[in-house]
Amino acid sequence: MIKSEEMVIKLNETDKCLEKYVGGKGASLSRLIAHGFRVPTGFCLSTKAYRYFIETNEIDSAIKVELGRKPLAKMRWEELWDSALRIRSMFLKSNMPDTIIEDVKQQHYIMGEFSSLAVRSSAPGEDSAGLSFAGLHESILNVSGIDELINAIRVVWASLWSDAALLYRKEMKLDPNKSAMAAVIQGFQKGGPSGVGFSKDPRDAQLDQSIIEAVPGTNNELVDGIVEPDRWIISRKTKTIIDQNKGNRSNSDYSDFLLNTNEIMHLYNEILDIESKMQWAADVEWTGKGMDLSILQARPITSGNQSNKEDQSNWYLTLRPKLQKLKKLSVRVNDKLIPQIKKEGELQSHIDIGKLNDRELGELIRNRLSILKKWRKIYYDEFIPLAHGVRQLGVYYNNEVRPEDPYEFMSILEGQEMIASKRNHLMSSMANLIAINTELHEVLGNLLQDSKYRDHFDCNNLKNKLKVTSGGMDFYNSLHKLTNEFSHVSFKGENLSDDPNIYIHTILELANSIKVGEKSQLSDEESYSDITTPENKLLKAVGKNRHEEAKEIIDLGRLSWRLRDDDNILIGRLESQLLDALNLAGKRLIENGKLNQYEKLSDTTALILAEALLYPPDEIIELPQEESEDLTKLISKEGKPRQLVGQPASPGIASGTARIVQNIKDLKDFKFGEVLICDAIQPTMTHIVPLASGIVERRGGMLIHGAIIARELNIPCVNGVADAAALISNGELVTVDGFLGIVTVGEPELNLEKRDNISNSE
Amino acid sequence: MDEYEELSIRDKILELAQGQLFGVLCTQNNQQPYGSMIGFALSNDLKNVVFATPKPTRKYKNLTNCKNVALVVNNREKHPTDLMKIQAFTATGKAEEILKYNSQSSWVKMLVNKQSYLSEFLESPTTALFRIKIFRYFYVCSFQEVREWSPG
Repeated sequence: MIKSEEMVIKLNETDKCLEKYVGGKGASLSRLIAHGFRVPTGFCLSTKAYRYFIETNEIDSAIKVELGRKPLAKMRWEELWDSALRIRSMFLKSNMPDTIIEDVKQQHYIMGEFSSLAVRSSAPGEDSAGLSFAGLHESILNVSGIDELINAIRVVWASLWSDAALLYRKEMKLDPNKSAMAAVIQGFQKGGPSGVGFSKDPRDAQLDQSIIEAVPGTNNELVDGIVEPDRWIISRKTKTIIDQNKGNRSNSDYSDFLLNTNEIMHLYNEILDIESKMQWAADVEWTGKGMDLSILQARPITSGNQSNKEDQSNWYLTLRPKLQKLKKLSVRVNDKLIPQIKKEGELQSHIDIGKLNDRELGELIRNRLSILKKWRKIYYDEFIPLAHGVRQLGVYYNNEVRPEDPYEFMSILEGQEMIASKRNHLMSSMANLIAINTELHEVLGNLLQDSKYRDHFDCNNLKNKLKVTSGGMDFYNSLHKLTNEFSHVSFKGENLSDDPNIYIHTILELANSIKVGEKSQLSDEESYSDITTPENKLLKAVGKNRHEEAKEIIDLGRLSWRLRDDDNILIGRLESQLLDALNLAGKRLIENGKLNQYEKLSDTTALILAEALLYPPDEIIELPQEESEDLTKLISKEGKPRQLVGQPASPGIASGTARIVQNIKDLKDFKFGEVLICDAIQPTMTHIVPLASGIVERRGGMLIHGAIIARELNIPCVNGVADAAALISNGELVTVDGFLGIVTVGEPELNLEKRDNISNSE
Repeated sequence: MDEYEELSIRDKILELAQGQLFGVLCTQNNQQPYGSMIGFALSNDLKNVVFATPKPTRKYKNLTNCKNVALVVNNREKHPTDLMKIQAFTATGKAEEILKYNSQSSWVKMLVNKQSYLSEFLESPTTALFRIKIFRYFYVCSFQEVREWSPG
C-alpha cells in the first residue's frame, strides 16, 4: 500500500524532490525555492502516485497492448494519435484512488480553498540537456475546486501518452513503457504580464546575448502563437538592451511596452542569477513584474545550435494547432484554396489536348506538372494540417462526454455532401434502377461478358444497346453524368475516365447485392432519436453556456473532414489531366518511332516526354523502369501469415475471398462480398467499398478515409496491417475481425501432416 | 528499427528455441489431448527436435499410439508483465522413437549439449529417446500475430 508521504511531496521539501519522483520541472522548482527565488507555492503528486493510479486501474496493461500492437518505429503518426486518444480516454474514465483524492484534498485545503491553481506536467528526464519535452505534455491553468483539480491531474497524466509525446519518444528511441509522470500543482497567478527568458540566445549561443519576451496575459498565449510578444535582446557583456521590438497587438491598452527598462533589468538579473545557481544556460518562464515577479519554470536551454540535431520537438508542437489557428486555416482552405483548385481543374478541362501540336503538348505537360507540384505542396502544408479539426473534435468530445467508445464522435462526421458521396449516391441510384429492371440488368451483364467490349469501352455500342432497352437511356444519361462529373480522377497512376466499364461493373455488383424491398446501403440513413445522437450528447454534456463553443468545434470538425475528402478528389483530377496529356504524348512518340512502349507514366516520365516533344531526339527514348518489390521474398523472410494484427477501425466480423486492389483493373474485378485488401482506400475509389464484406488496409488510422467510410457502412475493417497487400494473396479466405483488429488468413481447420516413413538413420 | 525486428522468422524461431530449455509437448490418445513439460534440443536447421522420456509415462504411451505431436515453446519469463513482448511458437510434426543409440550418437549429443543433466538419464534402459520431424512452425508475437513457416 502506497504511503501519503510517497505520493505528495511539497516543493519546499528539496531533499525529497528528487527528479525520479517529482519529474524535471518539480525538481527544478524545488531547487529554485531552495536558492531563494520567488516560486508560486505548491506540491507535487509524485511518479509513485501516477504508477499507483495506472496500476490500480490496470491502465498500464492496456497501454502495453496499445503500443505493442506494432513496433513503435513502424507506427504512422495517425496510428500514434489513435492510440493516444484511446489511452487518454482510459485515463479520463478511470477512478482516482481514494488515497490520492484525500491527499490532494488536504493539500488543496492548505493552499487555500478558493485559490486558482495551475496543474503542470513534470516527467523525469523531460527537461534534461539532451531532451526537451517542452510543450508536448499538458498543463491546465486556472483550476478551481477539488473536482476540477482531480480531473486536471488525470488530463496532465494522460498527456504523457499524447501523440506528440509518443512521436518524440519514437524519434529519440526512448521506451515509452519506462515513462512516468508527476504533476506539479501550484497557485495560479492571474493577470500578467508573463513571458519567457533565455539567459543565452537559443538560436545561437555564440552571439553572447540574452532574450526576453512578454505577453499581456498568460504564457499560453505566447506558446500558442495567439499573441505577438514584446521582445528585448540584452548584451551579456554590457548588460544593456541592444534591441527591442513591440509586439503587434490590436488592444490599445497595451500601446506601450509591457515592461519598462527597470523591470526588464530586474527580470534579466533574476535570469542570470538562475543561470549561475542552477549552473546551466536557462530557459525561464515567468509571470508578474517588480515585486510580484514569480518564476514558473526553469530548464536548460536545448534548442538552437545545440548538439542534438535530431531533436524535432518543435515540429511535434505543430501537431496540436489551437482552435483559432484551425479556424483561420479552414476559412483559407474553404474560401480560397478549394475554389482555386476547382477552377484550375476546370480551366484545364476546357483544353482540347488533341488539337495541340507536339510543341504545344510538350509545354502543356510541363505546365500541368508544375500545377500539380504546386498543389501537392499546398496539400501537405495546408490541407493535411486541416485534418486536425477532426482530431480537435475527437479530443473535445471525449473530454466532455467520456464515451465508452472513444471514436463515437466519428458519427458526427457522417452524412456530409462530399464529392465522393455525391458520386456514390448517384451510383447507388443507378444500381437501384438495374435491380428492378431485369432486361436492363441482362443487357449490361451480357455486354460485360463480351470480352471485346469489356476490354475496350465502346460508347456507341453501349448507347445503341441501351436505346432499345426499357430504362436504358435513363441509365445511359446517368452514366454520362457520372463519368463527366466524377471520373476524371486518377487511381494509382491510371485514369478512371479511360474505362467507364469500371463503374458499370461496380453498379452491376451493387445491383446484385440489393434485394427487392431492401434499401441500398448507401441510401440508408441511421435513425437516431433526437436525444441519443452524439451531437446532442455533446451539447448536453457541455451545458447551454458552452453550446456556441461546442457547435464551433463540431462545425470545424465537419468542415475539416469534408474538405479533406474533397481535396483528394480535386488533386486526383489534376493528376488525371496530367495523365491524359502524358498518354497522348506517349502515343504520338510511339507513332513517330521515338518511343517503343510504355506501361505506366508518372511524374518522373513527364519531363522526359515533354522534352522529347519540344526537342525531338534522334534516338529512341528509354523510359526508366519502375522497380517492383519482390514480394515472394517477404513471405520467405517473415513466414506466411496466419493471423495479422492491426487496428480495429470498424467493428464487426466477416469472412470472404481476398481481393487485392492495386490498380484500375483490380477495381473492375472486385466482386460483391469479397474482402478488400489494399494499401489505403482513397476517395477516388470509395465507390467499390459498399461491395466489400470486410476491409484490410496497410495504412493505419481511425480517421483515414477507409476507416470512416467503413464505420459509416458498418463494414468490418482492420487497418495498419503492415504489408497486407504483399502477404495476402487473391482468392485466399480471409476473416476480418473489426472488434479485435485481427485478420485471419486461410481456413480455420489445420491439416495434420500426412507424411510417413521417417528415417531413423543418424 | 529494433535489431530483433530485422531478423527473419527462421532466426527468430531459432533464437527463441535456443533460449529455452523446456517446452510443452502435446500428445493425444483416443482424442484426449495431453500436455507434458519436456527438456528439448532443436537442430540448427530447425527440422528436428530431440527429447527423452521414461517409458512408463502417459506421454510415451500416447506417442506409441499416435505419432502426431505439437511442441509449444515461449519466453514469457523474460516479459512477466508485458504480454505484447512474449514470443512463442508451436511446432507440429511426427515423433519417432530412436531405438538404438549410445552416448556417441548424434541425437544424444545434441540433447546432452543443451541438457547436460540428462546424460545419466539417457543411459537407463527405461528411458526412450525421441526425434520429432518438424513440418511447420506457427510463430506468435505481439499477442495475436501468427506466422507460419516450414523448415522445408
